[in-house]
Amino acid sequence: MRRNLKPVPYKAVGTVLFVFLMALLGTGQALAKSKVLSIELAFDHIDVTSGFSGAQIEVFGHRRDKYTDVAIVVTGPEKNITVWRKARILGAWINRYAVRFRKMPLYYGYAVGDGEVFNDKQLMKSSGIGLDSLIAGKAELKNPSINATNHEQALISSMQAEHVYPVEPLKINYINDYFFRTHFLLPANAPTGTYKIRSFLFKEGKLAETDIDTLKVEQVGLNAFIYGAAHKHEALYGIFCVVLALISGWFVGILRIRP
Amino acid sequence: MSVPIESIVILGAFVGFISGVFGVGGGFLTTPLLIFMGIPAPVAVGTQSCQLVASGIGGVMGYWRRGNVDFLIGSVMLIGGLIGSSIGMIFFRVLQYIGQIDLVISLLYIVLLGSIGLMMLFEGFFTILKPKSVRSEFNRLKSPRLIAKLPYKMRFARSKLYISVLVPGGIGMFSGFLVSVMGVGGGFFLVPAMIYILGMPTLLVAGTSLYQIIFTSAFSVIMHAMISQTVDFVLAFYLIAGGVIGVKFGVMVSRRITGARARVILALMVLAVCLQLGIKLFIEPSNLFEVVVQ
Repeated sequence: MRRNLKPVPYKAVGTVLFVFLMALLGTGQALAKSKVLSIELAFDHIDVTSGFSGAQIEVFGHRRDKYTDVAIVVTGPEKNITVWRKARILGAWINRYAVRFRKMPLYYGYAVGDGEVFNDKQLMKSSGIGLDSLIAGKAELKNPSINATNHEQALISSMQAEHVYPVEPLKINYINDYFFRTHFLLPANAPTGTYKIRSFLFKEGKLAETDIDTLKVEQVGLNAFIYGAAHKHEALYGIFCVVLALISGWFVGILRIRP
Repeated sequence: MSVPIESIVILGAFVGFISGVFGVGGGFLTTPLLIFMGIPAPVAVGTQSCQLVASGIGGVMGYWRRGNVDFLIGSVMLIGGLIGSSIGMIFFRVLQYIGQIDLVISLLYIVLLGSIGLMMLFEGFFTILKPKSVRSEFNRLKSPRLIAKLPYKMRFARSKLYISVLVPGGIGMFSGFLVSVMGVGGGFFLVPAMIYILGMPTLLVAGTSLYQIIFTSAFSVIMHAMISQTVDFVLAFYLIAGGVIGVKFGVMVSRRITGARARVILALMVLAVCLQLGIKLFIEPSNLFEVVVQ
């Protein structure tokens, strides 16, 4: 037996093993959060006061792969919307043809990068990006002979006139290859409620990742109190209105009797 | 809805002025004028009923002091009014659902304003041409036989009447319906109905009708708030505030205008509003589509 064999350096093996395990663990962690795209909102809460003149939804993001394309979609609270087309009946213009749109967001905004992928209309529609995808299949005809296209157009242009639907998509601004930001303008008439911020990552012309985040837009102050009361405690609100009308009427009565 | 506060206050002051000069409620002018300003018709109606409560209480106080309110017959009318108001609310909701509420409100106003305006115009002209004639003849028509035959008779001591409760109840019911659907107190209907159909003493009519209107409109406000959420208190408040200023000036001016001439002027104004509503209905709108968020 050769005695000059060096003893196995257990300590060193241990260290190597430890480093190796750590590396494995590290990869494991990396695998667990292998998402390429991550976004962050500057504020997760917007307060609407009585002097509210609009706000911005600020979105920051990071992608770990610069050969990808990013899109962000913001949708406001949803409601059913009916669009009527007027027709002439006995000389008068009367609401005649109705098309109902189920669960339409009362705010919609979207921002896209400048990749080729965003010109692929089919892909955009199937991913849920853009006004086409928003309106597609939402029309519920009360009368099957109506062509819903005009109603869809009317709905979109009415929302665009109120500045709650975009005329053109916003741009995603890349700060460098990995970091980007964009901001959505929330007009003064934007509805309050929960907004969804969805992010999309496209790689090689395919949708690779999506994520969702929420933002609360709430009214604060006196207006909020009145608005909240009118929609949550209807009876109380009605009684409150009557009582205030009685008080002011009483005041008017006193003014009238005195002279 | 983006209408400047100032214009709401001015509108309130204007209608208050009219009501001060002519001694009318003015509700029949407020609702169409709010619609012209771009307030959705259902909100205009819901809010206007809130304003009616205020102007009603303000008016009734004076009559109450002088003891010119018959609470018994007023309460019978009120029961009818609450029933009519509920029927009106259902009617309102159904029309909202089928998308015809704006149309029906406009049409009812055209009929209402058109007939009131024409009646006042003729009456005013006749009084100017032949003073002191017509009035006395009209004072009391005999109750038609049919009314005398109706059951559930009741004695109303204050008004010196012995009449079926169905008659004041029915009159109240129709006025309640008008409050819910049109946001008018219905004084223009109640006053002549109480004089000519019920045969009530003229002295008691104004106070009693106002007493009834306060409660039916208060009920209507609560129902509108609960069912269709079309009461905008802030809007009502500015209307009332404007009204206070307007009434003051109106009463001052009223002392300088003779009655018949004033009625002709009011009639012409009412007809102008009626015409404007009519034109709006018959001219092809620039946007054929109406978007309603539910």
